[in-house]
Amino acid sequence: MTTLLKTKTGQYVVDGSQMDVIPGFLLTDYPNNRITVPLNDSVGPYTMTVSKEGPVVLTNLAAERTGTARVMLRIQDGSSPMGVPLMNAACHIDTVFGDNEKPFALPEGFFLQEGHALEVLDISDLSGESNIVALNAGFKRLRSPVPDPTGKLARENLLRRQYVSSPYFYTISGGSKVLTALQSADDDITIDSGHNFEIISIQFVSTGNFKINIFNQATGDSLICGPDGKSFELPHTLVCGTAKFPRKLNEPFMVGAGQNLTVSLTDTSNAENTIFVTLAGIVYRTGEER
Amino acid sequence: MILTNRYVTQVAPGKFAIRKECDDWKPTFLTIAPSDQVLPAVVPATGSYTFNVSQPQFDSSRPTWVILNQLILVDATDGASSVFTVQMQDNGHNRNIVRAPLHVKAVFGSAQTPGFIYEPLILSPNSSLRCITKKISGGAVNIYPYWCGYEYVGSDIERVRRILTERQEVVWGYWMTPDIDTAGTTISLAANATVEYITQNSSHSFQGLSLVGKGTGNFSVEIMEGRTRRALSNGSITLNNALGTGNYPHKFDAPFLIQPGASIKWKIKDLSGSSNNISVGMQGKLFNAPMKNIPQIERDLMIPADMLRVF
Repeated sequence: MTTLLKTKTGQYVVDGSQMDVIPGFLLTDYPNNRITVPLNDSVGPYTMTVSKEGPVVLTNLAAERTGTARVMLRIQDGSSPMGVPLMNAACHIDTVFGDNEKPFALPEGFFLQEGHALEVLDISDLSGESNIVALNAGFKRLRSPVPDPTGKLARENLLRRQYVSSPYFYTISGGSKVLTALQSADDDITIDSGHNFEIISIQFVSTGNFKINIFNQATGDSLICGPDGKSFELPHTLVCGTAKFPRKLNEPFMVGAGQNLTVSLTDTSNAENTIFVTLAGIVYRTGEER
Repeated sequence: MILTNRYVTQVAPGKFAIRKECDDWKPTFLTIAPSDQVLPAVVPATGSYTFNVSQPQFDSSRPTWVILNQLILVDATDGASSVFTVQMQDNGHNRNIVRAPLHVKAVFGSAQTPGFIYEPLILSPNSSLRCITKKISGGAVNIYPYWCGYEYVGSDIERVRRILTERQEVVWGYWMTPDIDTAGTTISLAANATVEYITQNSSHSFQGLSLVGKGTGNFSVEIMEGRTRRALSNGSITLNNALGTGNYPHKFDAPFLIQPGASIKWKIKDLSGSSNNISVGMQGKLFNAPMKNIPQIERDLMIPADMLRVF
């Protein structure tokens, strides 16, 4: 973004219009900025409400946590009493939230008006100990866009875009799979019939090493192509990252509405292995534009 | 497709040439003298070290301009057993680059992921960069701080000087911090204690671009700009969910522009339940130029916006 301008007469000027777009962090509403999750228990819901200072575009997610947990997120934007889900099931926190140094950049920004909220529907402890979780959604806030003093045009454009596409997370059924030593298993992810899903990055957390392949049952396309067009599983370290260091795909992998993705997993740790896999991406809604 | 890069150009079909300019710049590392590389175990131990702009060895009469954009610290402690702060001054321009001392890990990075400054620091021939370190705790430690960048060794020194100095007069990299009353230390908080600082911005505009911080334990912070009452969050962000480090600063998604003379309030609270040495800062740029909106520029200077050029 340009800040310093030089006039024809040689004067330098700082572009003050930057005062109208400011950065910030959306936290769970006071006094729950740091949420205590009892051991092996679940708490929620908690809202992260946008204040009256102006609408925001959420762009990244970071979390402090003393132990591991699952989280389920949705948006409360008034469009539905149940809210708009951001994921198909609760995901491991480390596959969705980065940290203070490397927050997870959402595949696409999410626009929220004043009074609307990012809602943490549920946080479940996985650590077996009392767990403190502090969530942080980075945003840029529109204060009084010029030449759009009321922000009406900006709001309409962002809302319209958002109806067409928004960030989303898909995880395997139940959010995780437990494999016995050297066991292989498939898990299906069914894409909602109301949208197409573009996979942007793949995140994982596991208790041991494993191999993975992901393919679209409807088209036969696999993320991994080997000799003679055959696909096979690869070590997770080659295919998956974390929210902090996500494994971004070089090209989008689009999955059509209602199609099934098969996630093939094989334990290579020779011990029981709990595996969390989350696909982060963008959903493109199939309904008419409103 | 023509395969070229900044130093390779196509001069005729099938013929390529290397640009002369590739001889004009070379990478450079500035560091402190070996005799300064030991921070003793005495607490507090203060050192003041100077990074000097050297002359190129092949021609000692030729002035050298250095552009620095990376900060690397190699130390044996990783900040765990020996903690110290740094403050830096550009002696050539008589400017502070870091407002008050910051934990070294909030400023410097590593060779793999260097820390960086948002506006490259330009040092004129024979000027220097002063680095003041102060020990907070821990035993004796060897420190190896480096500034990395590149230097001009070409012959068109006047043209380069004009380009470099003009921009440096109006914008430079800066770390905005709370004004700590005990110079050279961190913010020292008792268990569960809270403290507030008000930083008065100078006569320059400040553009915050990321947050950094470090503590001996977890802490929370609320940051608000006083003049327009713009808060950075709807509650307390914490060290572990919002404050980055020198090599991984937590970047904002939009710049946080602060007017000249405006104040910044920092409300800091210990969350560790123990005494806590805290460093927190906002990394960005200072501008020595008036702040105006585009319509204001057009009105005051009678210049249409499309006549403005990005500098």
